[in-house]
Amino acid sequence: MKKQSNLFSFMLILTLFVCGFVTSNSTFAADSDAVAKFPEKRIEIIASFGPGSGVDITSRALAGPLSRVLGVDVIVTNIEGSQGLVGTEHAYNQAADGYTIFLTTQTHLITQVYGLSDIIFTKEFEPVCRMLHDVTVVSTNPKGRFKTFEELSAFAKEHPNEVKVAGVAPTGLDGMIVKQFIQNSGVPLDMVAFSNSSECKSALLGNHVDLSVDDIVSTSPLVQAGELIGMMVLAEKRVEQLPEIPCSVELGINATIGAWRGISVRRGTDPAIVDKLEQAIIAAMKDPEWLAFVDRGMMNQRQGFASTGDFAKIWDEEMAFFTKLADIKK
Amino acid sequence: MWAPIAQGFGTILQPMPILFIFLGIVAGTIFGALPGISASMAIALCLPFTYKMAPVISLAFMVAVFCAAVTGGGITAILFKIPGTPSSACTVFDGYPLATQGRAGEALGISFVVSAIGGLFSAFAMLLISPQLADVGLKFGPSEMFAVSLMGLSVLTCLEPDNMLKTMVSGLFGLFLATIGTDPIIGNVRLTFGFQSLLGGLDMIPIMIGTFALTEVFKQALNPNEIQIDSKNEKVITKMMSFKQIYETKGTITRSAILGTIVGILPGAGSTIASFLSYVTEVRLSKHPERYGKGEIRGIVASETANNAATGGSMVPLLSLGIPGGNAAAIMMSALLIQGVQLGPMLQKTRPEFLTSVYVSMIVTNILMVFVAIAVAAVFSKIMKVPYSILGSMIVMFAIIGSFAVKNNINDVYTMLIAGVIGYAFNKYNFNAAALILGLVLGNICEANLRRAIKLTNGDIVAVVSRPITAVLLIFCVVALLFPIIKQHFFSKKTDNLPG
Repeated sequence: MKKQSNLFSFMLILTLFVCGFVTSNSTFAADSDAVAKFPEKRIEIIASFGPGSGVDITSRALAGPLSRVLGVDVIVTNIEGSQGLVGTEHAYNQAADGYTIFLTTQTHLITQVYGLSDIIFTKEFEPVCRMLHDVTVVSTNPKGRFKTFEELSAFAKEHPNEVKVAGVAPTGLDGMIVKQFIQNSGVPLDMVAFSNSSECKSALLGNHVDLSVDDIVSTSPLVQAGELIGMMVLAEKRVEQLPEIPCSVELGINATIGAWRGISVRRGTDPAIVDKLEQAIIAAMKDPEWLAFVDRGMMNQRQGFASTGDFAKIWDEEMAFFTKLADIKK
Repeated sequence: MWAPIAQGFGTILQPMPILFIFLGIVAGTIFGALPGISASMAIALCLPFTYKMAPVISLAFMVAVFCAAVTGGGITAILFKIPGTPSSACTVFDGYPLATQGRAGEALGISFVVSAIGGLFSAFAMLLISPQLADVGLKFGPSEMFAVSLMGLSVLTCLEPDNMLKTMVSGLFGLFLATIGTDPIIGNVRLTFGFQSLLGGLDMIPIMIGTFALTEVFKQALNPNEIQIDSKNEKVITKMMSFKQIYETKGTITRSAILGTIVGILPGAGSTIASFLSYVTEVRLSKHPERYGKGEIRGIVASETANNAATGGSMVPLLSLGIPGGNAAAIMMSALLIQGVQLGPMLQKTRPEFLTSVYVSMIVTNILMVFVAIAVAAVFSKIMKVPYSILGSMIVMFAIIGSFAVKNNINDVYTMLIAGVIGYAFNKYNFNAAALILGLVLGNICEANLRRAIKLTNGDIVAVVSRPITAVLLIFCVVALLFPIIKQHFFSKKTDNLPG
């Protein structure tokens, strides 16, 4: 019987050990001592989207450099589901002590615009800083019905509601990108939602949809291999590494939404801790590993960094912007 | 073509890569066997170790973890009725009944051997015809995926021919549960009744753990004599599958390996769906469908062959197009991206040895895995020796930890407990828990793809169902759905005509 109970304890320890990897520690209220000593233990980045998503790869790229700057472990936990709301709820339930940091993107604001969650994101979280501002690319299939924007525009005006664009979240960032594109180009498109960007690309490669919107890093390998055509980048200027793809502004379309990603923490976190985190992220963004990540992902097209104050302003501006854009279709 | 293959063997068959693959298999099998740790979570847990490895080796290591985790899931499915990974849910249906008949060792042996066969089949398929396979996968758009998932659901009429109505009700209840959460097409919230925690929908792992494991514990606790656990005082020793058994089930193995590989390639499917589709296909093709769910060896063979074959299949779009077919593949892709390697069509042209090394590591993994799995199963099966009064409480503990581990969320534990109660009620009133799980697993993919397909044709349903692949699959569905009903009708007519 003793042998079994040993085994039993072994199994119990093993299982709890595994849980420990992904469980956030319970935390105590921040006092001045804790603030001065910050960080004393592991920091957890909550990535509220699945593996391979922009939020996920950015979190993972940040974790290593940030850990070297702060001298504590920085781990990434994916809590995905419902356009980031499940992860938001998880982060909401953690203590405001700076040990749980939340990788934030526009989707977290947009779900608030649509009122999808009881948690008012901008009320419950506060910005630390922004790290990246990516560019969106609209791609099409070489075997598809059109290859350039002119062909698309002519076709779509003759066949309204027939041009299908694949995107991820209808009430998230992709939905807004498509809305702004339709509004400012006058080209009627119909968005079909898929579960993730891989499914969007499979659908486009199989010629089941006409267009897809995504970030550059995941589209460019397929464009370079000739599997997809980059129709345009939604930006003020062309992307250096893909100079043959026209940009939306040169085509006269004022549609330039691209995903940005930054860090936020639970509101009520001590300002000194927010400041420490911001300084640490600034230092981490000078790490060669981070620079290589940004360079490979072609995420240096736009000024990415925004300080705590600027990032707060961006939240306010974009909340107003998205609220207006969301109302248009209603 | 042969030069990169030779290079692939050259890269992998070195002491260090083999060592890492071995460690990956050990970690993968243990994580896979622990309830609540799915294959993709196992890879995520092993991720930090890959940062220091060369990109090729780290990919080989992650592939080893992946394949082994899918196999490891079968261990707890057979021994404790808790599927270690959702892809082993179908292994429970026949594996656990075998274990209660004192044939746990045999069931484990079969599950390991066919896992290896399935994995090897898909590894060789990838090695030889990966680009062609990727093209086939892309042909499956929303309407085709709808037809595939409907084929899985069409088995509802023959899961339990004598209890068709209640089986259908159970399946439809599963489909209903799948609709809770955020709408997949327009993104609004539905059927959450104001519960914030239901926004993401119901996770299938806690429901599986609840309806299988917890229900079993309830059954044992309320009526200890209902099921005899013969094995409790015997040592469970994994008995390797004999060549005779392999020969007898060769049809099932072949069909499941092919089906598993193809389903693995399809966008949005994966090893769980592969295993369900393969299981239901075997039930439908069998001359004795009533034997399934009661300890039919072919049930384990179908489930375990297909889920491991799907691991290879899901690597096809990842390696040839840079599009991950599932969560596990997506984690591998992001790990390599951090190391500066972008998987995709260019890689295949510039560094073909990268891809062949993955195939070779899959082949090595699938062979080594059998022995590691036997060792891990030996540890787990020792737990079987304790009396059920203790084992039962341990299973409850595993069930709770396993449900919590999915998302570190206490709500998943509540879901699991409720599912356990519902599972017990299902059992008591002869509803079918397997049908419920089938509906839940296939519900999302079925609904989302049908609605996408209809949106793509602007509401023209005829255009949706008349696409060539879709039409063929749907005809199969209709035949499969109606055949048992027609058969029963004719059968009952005959008995009516009997004199007396």
